[in-house]
Amino acid sequence: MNLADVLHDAVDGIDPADRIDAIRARTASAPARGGRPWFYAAGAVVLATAATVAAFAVLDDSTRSSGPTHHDDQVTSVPTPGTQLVPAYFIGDTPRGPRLFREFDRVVGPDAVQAALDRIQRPPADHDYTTGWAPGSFGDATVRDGRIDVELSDGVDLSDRLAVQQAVYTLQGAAGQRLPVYFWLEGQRGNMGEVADPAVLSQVMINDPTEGLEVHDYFTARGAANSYEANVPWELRDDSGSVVRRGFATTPGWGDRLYPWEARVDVRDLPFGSYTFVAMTDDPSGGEGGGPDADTRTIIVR
Amino acid sequence: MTERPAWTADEALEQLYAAHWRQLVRLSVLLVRDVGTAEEVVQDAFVAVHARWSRLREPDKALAYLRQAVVNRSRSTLRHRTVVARHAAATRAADAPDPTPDTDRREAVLDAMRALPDRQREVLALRYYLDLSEADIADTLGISRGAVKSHASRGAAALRTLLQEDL
Repeated sequence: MNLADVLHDAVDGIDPADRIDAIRARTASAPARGGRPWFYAAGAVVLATAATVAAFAVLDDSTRSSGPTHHDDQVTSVPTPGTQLVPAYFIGDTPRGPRLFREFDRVVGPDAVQAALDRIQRPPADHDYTTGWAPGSFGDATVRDGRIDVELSDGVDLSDRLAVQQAVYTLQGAAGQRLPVYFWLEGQRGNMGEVADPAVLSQVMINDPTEGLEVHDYFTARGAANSYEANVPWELRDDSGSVVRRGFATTPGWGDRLYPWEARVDVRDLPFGSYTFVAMTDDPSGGEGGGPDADTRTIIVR
Repeated sequence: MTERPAWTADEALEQLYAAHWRQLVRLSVLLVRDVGTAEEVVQDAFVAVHARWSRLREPDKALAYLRQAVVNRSRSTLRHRTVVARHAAATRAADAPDPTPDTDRREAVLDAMRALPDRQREVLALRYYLDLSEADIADTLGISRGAVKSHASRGAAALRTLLQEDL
């Protein structure tokens, strides 16, 4: 048995899909070739010019001031002693390829950084997302001397850049500071601290409602977005996908980073049941460039 | 002739894609089995090579980097996929096309590759599919040539045994 023949026979009939357009879209550094709207390339531009500033901006504006606040117009679970809310980033799809989205999840434990790291080694609450980290990928996480140290389990590697960024954003969000993250393997510290890269973020995220939230009369949706002309369209869709409510929120800025948005949604006349809330980036191209980024949450109207 | 055109990153990307996209996806299929996953892995590798072009600058180095990125990303994808494997196993049975002798044989080879330890699978794919030298395989995987030799001989023996059971 000639192994070269065996392996060639196994895969030479495979004709992979052509992905050059998707690759071009992800590597474009200016509105180029396909006449793509500016914002599909915005992540790359931000990376080249103001990575650190933008990273702090995301944290400051959306994690802190517009994180889930659960006002009295929402039915929320009562916080249990010994638990806290932490930002946990997960991987979801956008027209530009997989990007990071954020959940705020209630976790058990006194140490927010450790609890957040543990959180991303379990499946996300929102089934649209996945995690890059299997249970047991990490050991302890500690914040000290202006850095975050994380122990890697044996056999875990860091070649998946998006998964590494998932861990970096989660750890920094839980620490409340954009500290460099150092991964340790077998007692050895990695050479370079990992920093947050804004290019990996979805351009729209929902903080509220949380997945599966029960609402009645009204609810307030909140999130962060970097959307054309500061316009964040939203829709509420019923089980069949029909739009039953729509509107738009505005952000205080756009173009250079994610800004907070908020929308109040009236559900008084809707039948009880399950609905999907969708927040999008505005798409002035009408879908030519691949379509808008979008984030969704399932809610229950009672 | 050793002509080295001063490509921009965009031009290098187009050239590398035209020359190597298919072969690298097929290489990744040998490692991860699923074609869609392999396309994702190789797409990410091309995006990564574009970002590093200013440091690579030469097509040969870029190709070596692409191979390494494909192997590393394939490996981490397998690890990550264990998270969702249970769900996938439930749906895959229903999606599978009707088997023919040819598809059976190919599936058996891919199954056997998946059953090998990571390093053995990677060494076999680089040696017997890409026809790389021991030195190039050692560079790609960041292991010694001696390790390449031992993974190759153990992997080849294991693959032959698995295939004789199956075919």
